[in-house]
This record gives sequence, C-alpha cells and structure tokens, in this order.
Amino acid sequence: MNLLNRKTDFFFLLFLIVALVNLVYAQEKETPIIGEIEILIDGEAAPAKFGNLVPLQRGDKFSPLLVRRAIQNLYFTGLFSQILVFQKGVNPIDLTFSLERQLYLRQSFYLVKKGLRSEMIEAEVKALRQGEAFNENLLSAARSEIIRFLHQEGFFEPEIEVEIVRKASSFIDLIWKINPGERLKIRQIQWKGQVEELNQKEKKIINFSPGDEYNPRRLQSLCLALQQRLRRRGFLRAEVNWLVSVDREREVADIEIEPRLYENIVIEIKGAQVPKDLVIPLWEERFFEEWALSEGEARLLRYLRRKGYLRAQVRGQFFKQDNFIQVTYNIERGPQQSIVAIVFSGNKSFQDKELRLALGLPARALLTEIIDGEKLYELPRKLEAFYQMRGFPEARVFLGLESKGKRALAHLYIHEGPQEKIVSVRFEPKLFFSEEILRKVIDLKPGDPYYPPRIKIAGQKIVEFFHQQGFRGTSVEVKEIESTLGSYSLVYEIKEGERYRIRQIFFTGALITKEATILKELRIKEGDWASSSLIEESKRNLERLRVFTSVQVEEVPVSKDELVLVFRLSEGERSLASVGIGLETRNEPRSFEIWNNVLRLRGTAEIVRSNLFGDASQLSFISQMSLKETRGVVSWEQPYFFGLPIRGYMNMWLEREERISFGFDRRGLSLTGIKALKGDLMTILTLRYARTVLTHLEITESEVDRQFFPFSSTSCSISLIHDRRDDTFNPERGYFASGVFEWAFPLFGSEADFLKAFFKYQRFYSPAARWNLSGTFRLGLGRGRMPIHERFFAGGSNSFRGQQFDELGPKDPSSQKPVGGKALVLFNLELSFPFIASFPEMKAAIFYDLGNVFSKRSQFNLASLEHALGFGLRYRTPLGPLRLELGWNISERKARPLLFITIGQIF
Amino acid sequence: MKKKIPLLFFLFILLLPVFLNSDKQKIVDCLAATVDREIITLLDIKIYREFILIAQKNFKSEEILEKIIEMKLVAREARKEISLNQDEILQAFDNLFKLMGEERVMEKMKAYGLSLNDLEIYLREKLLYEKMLALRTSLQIGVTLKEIENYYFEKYVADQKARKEEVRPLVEVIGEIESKIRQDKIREQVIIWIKGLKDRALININKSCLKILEGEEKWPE
Repeated sequence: MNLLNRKTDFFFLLFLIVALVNLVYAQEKETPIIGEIEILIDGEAAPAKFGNLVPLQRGDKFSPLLVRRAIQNLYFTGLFSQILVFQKGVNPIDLTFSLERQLYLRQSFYLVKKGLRSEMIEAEVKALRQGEAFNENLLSAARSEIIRFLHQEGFFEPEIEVEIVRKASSFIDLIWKINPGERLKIRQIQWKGQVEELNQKEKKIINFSPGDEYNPRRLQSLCLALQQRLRRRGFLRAEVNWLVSVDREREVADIEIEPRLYENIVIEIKGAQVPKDLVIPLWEERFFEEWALSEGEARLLRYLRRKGYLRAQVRGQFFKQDNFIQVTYNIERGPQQSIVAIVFSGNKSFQDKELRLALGLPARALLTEIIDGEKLYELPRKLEAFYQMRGFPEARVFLGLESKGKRALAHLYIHEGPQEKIVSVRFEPKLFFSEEILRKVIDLKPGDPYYPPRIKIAGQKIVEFFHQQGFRGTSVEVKEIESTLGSYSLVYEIKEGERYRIRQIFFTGALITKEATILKELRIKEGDWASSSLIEESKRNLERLRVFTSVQVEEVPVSKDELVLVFRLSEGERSLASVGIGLETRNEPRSFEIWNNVLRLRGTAEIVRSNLFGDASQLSFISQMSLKETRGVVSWEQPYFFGLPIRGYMNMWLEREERISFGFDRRGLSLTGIKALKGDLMTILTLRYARTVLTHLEITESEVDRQFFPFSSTSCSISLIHDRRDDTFNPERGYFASGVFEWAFPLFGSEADFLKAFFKYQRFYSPAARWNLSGTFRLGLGRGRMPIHERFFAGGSNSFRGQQFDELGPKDPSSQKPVGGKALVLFNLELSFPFIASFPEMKAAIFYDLGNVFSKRSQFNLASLEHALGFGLRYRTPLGPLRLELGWNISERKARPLLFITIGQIF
Repeated sequence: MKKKIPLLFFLFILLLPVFLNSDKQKIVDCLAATVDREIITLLDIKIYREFILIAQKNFKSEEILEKIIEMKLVAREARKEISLNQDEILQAFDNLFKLMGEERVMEKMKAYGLSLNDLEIYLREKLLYEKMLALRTSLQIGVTLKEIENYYFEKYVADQKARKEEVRPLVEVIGEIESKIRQDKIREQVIIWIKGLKDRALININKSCLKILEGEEKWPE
C-alpha cells in the first residue's frame, strides 16, 4: 500500500509539473492580447484625450510595432521628452505609458565679467533658443559655443557654470555664470610677406605691441582695416593674413602678420564721367580677368543707357605685366536722348494697348521720357516672355531706335511665330472629385495657350486642392501628348492619397492664454476633414491675436484615416513700456480722427500690459504731449466685442488742446468696435460720452459756445472705410473712400443734439514714370446744436493751403477769429514729378486747392469757394513726404504767399 | 493527507515564481534617441541587431545606436540622389533569408509584429546607406607624387623594415601606395562628411533608455 501511495504521488506530481509547463508554454506561444492601457505624465494619470494617440485598445493583439507607433505619435506632439512603455502580465498584457513632460527654455541669463556683455554671448548661442525644447544634451553644445566665442575674444581658460531653474510645469530658466579668465599677453609680433611695400602709416594700423592683451576680434578688424587701406591704394586684391600661436602654459601668444598685395590694378574710364565704383568690385575678386572685363562693360553700358545715352558703346581692354594690371574702358557715349514713344510692329495676336499694359508703359510721354534707356533694352526680353506665356515659344523681339535730335522713338519688331494650344484636358483615373470641379481648380481648358510652367502649376493646384479637402499624400503627374504640330492633349494622372479627419486637437506652450481664447480662433474642429486651408486660417487667427511670438502646427497621423493636430504656441512678452519723441498721430480712437488726425511732433510715454486675463485683452496707458495739446488715454482692447468677432476698445481720456479761436479741456469715455468686412472694407462703430469745458474763447459767446461752461455730449458714430491705396504713407495708385455719420443726442444730462456727416474720396494716379497725380474731395455737413469744438474748420497744410491753420471760413466780427461752420467742402489737386534725375527721392509739386467752410448748410454756395494755387518740394520718407510749400489764396486781392513745412500726405 | 502537505507545499513553491513573473513589470519599448524629427526606439535597436542590419554583433548598445543614427542621416541624404528599384529590394530580402534562414526571419518578424512591408522599411534604409557610401567612395580623388613619395619614405619603408620584409623600390609599389592613399583619403572624407551630417542634425540620446537596455542580462525575446 505504501509503495502504491508513493507511486501515485510521484505520477500526480509529474502530471502537475507537465501540465504547468504546458500551460506556461502555451501562454507564451499564442499572441497575447492587450489588457489595460494606462498613460501617466510625470507619474500622474494623463487626461483621456491622450488615449487617442495610442493605436492600441483593450482586446487587440499585442504588437511591438504598434507600441512603437504609439511612442512616435506621443513624441510628435512635442509635449514629452521621455517615453517609456512597461508591460505587466503575459496574456493579457497591461501596458503603462510613462511620459515625462518636455521642458522648454523660457529665458537664458548670462552673468559675465571682463567687459563682455551678455547680449554678445546671447547672440552666439544658437543651440539653446528661447521658447524651444530643452534637454541636457543641448547644454554641452551651448557651452562649446560660449567657449568658441570667448576664444575669439582672447579668453582661453574660462570657467562656466550653469544653473537650471524650473519655472512652471514645463519651463526652465538657465543662469550662466561665466568667468572668462585672463586674456593672453602678446609675446611677439612678426611681419612676413610683402612688408617692404607698406608705408609707415599702414604698418601703424596694426597697433598691437608685445605685452598688450591678445584680442583676436580686434586683431581681425585691424587686419581688415589694413586690407581696405591697401585696396584703396590700388592693390585691389590685397589680403592680410594672420597666424597666432598660443602657449597656454606661459599664457602668451605669438602673432605673425602677412600682407599679400598681389597686383596693383589701375582702372581708367575714358570718354565719359562714370563712377569707378561700378567696376572696382569686379576686379577685387580673383576671377578671370576676361569675365571682369565683360561684366564691367555691361555695368557701364547699363549706367549710360539709364542716363539717356541710348547708343552708347563700351569697349574694355586690360594689360597685365608682372604685378601690374592696367584696365581701360573706352566709352563712346553718343547723343543723350529721351524716349518719347514706343511703337510695336509685327504684333498680330495682341493689340498695342495690351502689349503696353503688359510692359507697364503709358501711351505717350507728357513732358519727359516714357521710360529710361536701361529699362528700354530690357523690353525685348520681357515681351518675349509675355508671348511665351501665351503659347508662342518661338516669339522673338528686336529693338530699333529712330532718332529725332534729342528725342528717340523706340521700335519693337515682333516675330510671333506659331502659337501652341491645348486641345484637351483629361484626368485619370475616376476620382473622388468630378472632372468639372478639377477643371475649375486648374483653370485650364481646351483652346488655352500651351505654356509648360503653367501646366506644371496646374498640377500643383490639384495637389493643393486635395490638401484643402483633407487628403494627404496626393501626387500628380501630367502627360503632354502632341496630337498635331502645336496642339497638345493633357492627361493629369492623379494619385489621391488618403483622406484624413481630425481626431484630436492639442495645444502646447500656452501658459497664460486660456483654452477658450485659443479655441475661438480655430476654424476647424475635431471630426472635420483635415482641410489645409482651414488649418492655415486657424494658424493665422492665432497669430493675429498678437499674444504669441510663434504659432506652429504639426499633423500627426494616428490611424490610416485620422490625424491629430498639435498647435505649438510661444507666448510673447506681456509688458511693454516706452518713452519717445517723434512725429505721431493723435491717440484718441474716434471716427472723425480719420481726416483730422495730423502728424505732429509729439512726445509719448506708453505702458502696455497684454494678454491680461489670458483672453488676449490689452490694457494700455498712453500719454502724449505737444506744443498744442496734452493727452492721457487709458485703453482696454479686446479681440471680441461682447463675444462678437469685432475688435473692441474701451477708452477713457483727459485732454487739453489749444486752437486759434478756442482752447478746451475734455474728458471722455468711448466704446469702439472695428470690424474688417469683405475685401478692403472696414467699419468702425463708436459710442461716446464727452464733457468739454472751453478754457478760452476768442469769439463772441453764444448759447452753445460758453467759456468755462461744461458742455456734455453723448454720441454714436459709424464709419465705413474702403482703402485700395498701394501704400498708406506714399500712395501712387489706387483710391481711398470713407464716410462717417455721427449722431449726438441728449442723454445722461448731456446737451448735445446734432447730426454730423463727413465724406472723403481720394484718388491716386501715375500718368508717367515717377509722376503722381492725386485728387481729394471732402464734404462735411452738420445740423443741430454744434458747439465750436464740434464744428468744421479748415485751412493749413492739410486742407487748404491759401489760409493758415483753421482760418478758412467765417470769422467772428469782433475778434476776426475763425468760428467754424456746419458745412465744409474741399477739393485738392496735386501733381508731383521728379526734377533731379540723380535724386529720385526729391520731387517738385504744383497744387490747386478749392473750398470753404460755411456757418450753416443753407449758406452753402459753390460761387463763394476760395481758390489757392501753389508749388512746393517733396522729399520721400517712410512716414510720407516731407513737404515745403508756398501757397497763394488767389481769391484774395492782395494775397501773400504762405509757407508750410510739414510731413505726410495732405490727403 | 499529512504526507501530502509537504508535497502540496513543494508544488506551491514551484508555482510561485510563475505567478510572480507574470506580475513583474518590464520595459517593452522606450524612446532611445531622436534625429531631427525621426525617432529611434529600443525596438529599432533590437530589429537592427536581430536582423543583422548592423554588421558587428558585439557592439554595445550605445555603439549600435550611433551606427543607426549614422545610417539614418546617410540614408536621408541618399534619398535626395538615389532611388531603389524593386529588384534591389527583393535581392535584399533574398540575402537576408539566405543569411538567417527564412524560418528564423519569419519567426522574428512575428515576435516583433513586423509585416514584410514593415521590414522593407528597415532594409531600404540599410540599402540606401550602403549605396550612398559606395557612391561616395567611388569618387575620384587625386593623389600627388609628393604624397606617394612621402608615404613611401615615411610609412612603407618603416613598416617593411619592422616586419623584416623586403623593401621594394618606389617604382614597383607606386600603384599600391597610390591606391592605399586614395582609399585612406576617401575614407577620411566620408568620415568628415558623416561628421558634418551629425553636426547639422539635432540629435538627442536618451541615456536612461539605453541604460535599461544595458541593464538587462540578455536581449529580451
């Protein structure tokens, strides 16, 4: 029995072991399935949305490759620097994704001594940039860059420490403590090479002596200075090289300086006064002399043609012997002529008018040349390009000149050649979008001219179109089949790619800005097709908030038809303070300031705090001062006006201003909304309350105009602006139109009860090259109780140049000071033109102003408009032209000229 | 029954490690390095090693990673100039099957969850790397007579004497020396070129992930 029991136990044990082994082995043999998936960020459970980045779910078969893909997706968000994936269990496998948040560099501080400035070091450190991802590997790269910079400054034994300071959850500051050490001393300076060619003055440029501190940057600049000096002496290819041997043990440096003069080059230009600087740079480089010669000829020819020497010829030659090169350019100028007309011949397919428009030419010259000589010689090539774009690959254009004394007629002889056309356009294979839609996209149809670049661009347009519809990986190839000579059939072969939806949208880098603020700017949401245009628009909207210094978008495909969008945002500085003096407009957002806001010398102090509550709002305080006024404005700006997509401003201000007939103190409060409409149209809506006290009054007091008596007004105004000028400050083409309506009504104890309207239309035209003709019409009408500070005034450099500032219109009978009016009409016409060819920024101008101010609308009378004529000078600046003008009021019998000096357009 | 108690206890002790092991956490994968926007994970290092995409087997993990980074950078440059045709890919698969055995390859692919398309990506990278290096090493490099002479007198003669071998005249060995110098120059140029690629790229190595790999006694299956 005992034996039987022992045997039983033995076989039982054996059976259990075998069964166990089989069980374990079987578990490991079959593909395990996924159990729980956990995602931890810095040890804490991650929000559920991160699960979308993991292409694995409970119950799926475990695949190491899919785990890798999850790591890739998580990495592409830019949020994490370390990603570890743990598994627990054999079957099922529980996965834990352990993520460490990516750190970003907020700011680097450089504490440095020995006369070095932190900005110098900051400029040299490229490995670490503000707002970019940080990891400790970058510290050694940055350290190398700092060491390299210090070596260039002559510091070879620096001590560098860096401290990492954690600021917020993902941001760090770096504090660099740099002790550059001591500079090496110069032990000796040796000269090599062609030292005997240098004179004493030149040698003294390198003013280092043994015992001085060795500063590599200074040595480099001195050697360059010597090099420049030698080149000015005629050794155009001179080089000054230096070699430094550093003995770190003894802390000394030995310097060897070697000037190499190469050839002495003398350049002579005969036959015309032409600046040598046009050709000197060509001979400074060690290129082929033949090339320098022909390039010099071309530059001189272009210069002469620009000056009007249309038939100029230039021949260059050079003579070389030992270390001497003599270069001579012989010029035959020919007569100086201006081109008064351009005539086309041989053009069968296009009219002269079309060709002129294509080349940007006016029909005829008025008083001067239609085009300069340099541009004239470029016309044949431009015209050939025009023809090629229209399907004439063999078009040739030749230029001929017909002289008539100082005037020349340019003939462009055109040989068009045959035109090539497109006969059919097909798309293969059958696609998601119909042929009709694709034809509209590419804008190519049978009958259109055949021009290969345009056909290629059409292919790119198709790719872009698919991209906008959410497709990625689209590619297009085009087959061009020439069916008959000059007739092409196009077949666009399109591989559509995959269409993606947005599964999730992530934001990184927004510490202050609220998610709601960011979401408001998005034009795309989860579940939408990944339209590239909507993604781009969202990006632009975020940039327009003026809160982020950079906005980047990353697309992370997470499955074959879904992707995740990651917006990487870098918030900018929020506080700004500035003080300055300059030419500025008045800072009071008010619709009527569109026309009345003159540039004037003003001192300004400004403090701004932006993104105040994380909603992209801005609070600012601005104080302005000039000889005529003082102003303080507190402004609150919001990208959304009570939740509407209208930029809103709330302003409070105090101001004091002095005018000719009155002065006032005013305090006010306004609410303004600005909305850009379609095209270049903009509208401004303002609600305003203001309390004005006249501090002095030079006209007879009335019920409305009372000195020291406060006058309150509550008003609502609306403006429409359409701006199609090519440039705001120096317009040459286009137009500007605006209309303002203001209704002041008695509310909150205010006395105002008036209606005011103002219209302005400006037109800019260029009748010839650098000539500008501009005209402006202004009309102002008012009715009701309008105090003096609300009435229309005119006169001065920005309205009517036959009267001083504010002086146009009715006067007070006793004081003869202007009283303003309820009606205003102004018309200004001005022609400006160049008069010094070598000084294109300066122009002369003649002008004619017409207008008047009327006390009442009923007194409006065209016969009583005043006229002013005058002339002046204009100097173009980025803020508009600097104007010096003399104007005469020719409506007055004994008109004396008035001098005006100002900046900015009158208009 | 009393006699069975020790037996059952023995069984329990036997079974315990099985259950404990099944609860133990181990690393499946981690982010080992990034090269600009490309990632290299532990899985990649294993695949490169297991499928003999890296020549030397006894490299340490950091050395393998450096090699993979080099391959990625060179392959990226190669894509701008070189293309691979289907025959070359098929040949690469063929070579791999011959080297490792088809069954073994399939087994490893299953273990890592790789399809043939997935493995093709790795093979392509290796092919592009090799082709690019071959292109670079086939460039014409000039060797001057002076260089040959210097080599002959400074290196060849000394080496031959050290080996106690015959020192042949220059005219007899000029071809060999020229070829050697050329090969050395090309190799040096390639090294400099690869270094330039590495300097221009943004490379981050996650040492903690590599330590995990080194900490394991053997490659996990």
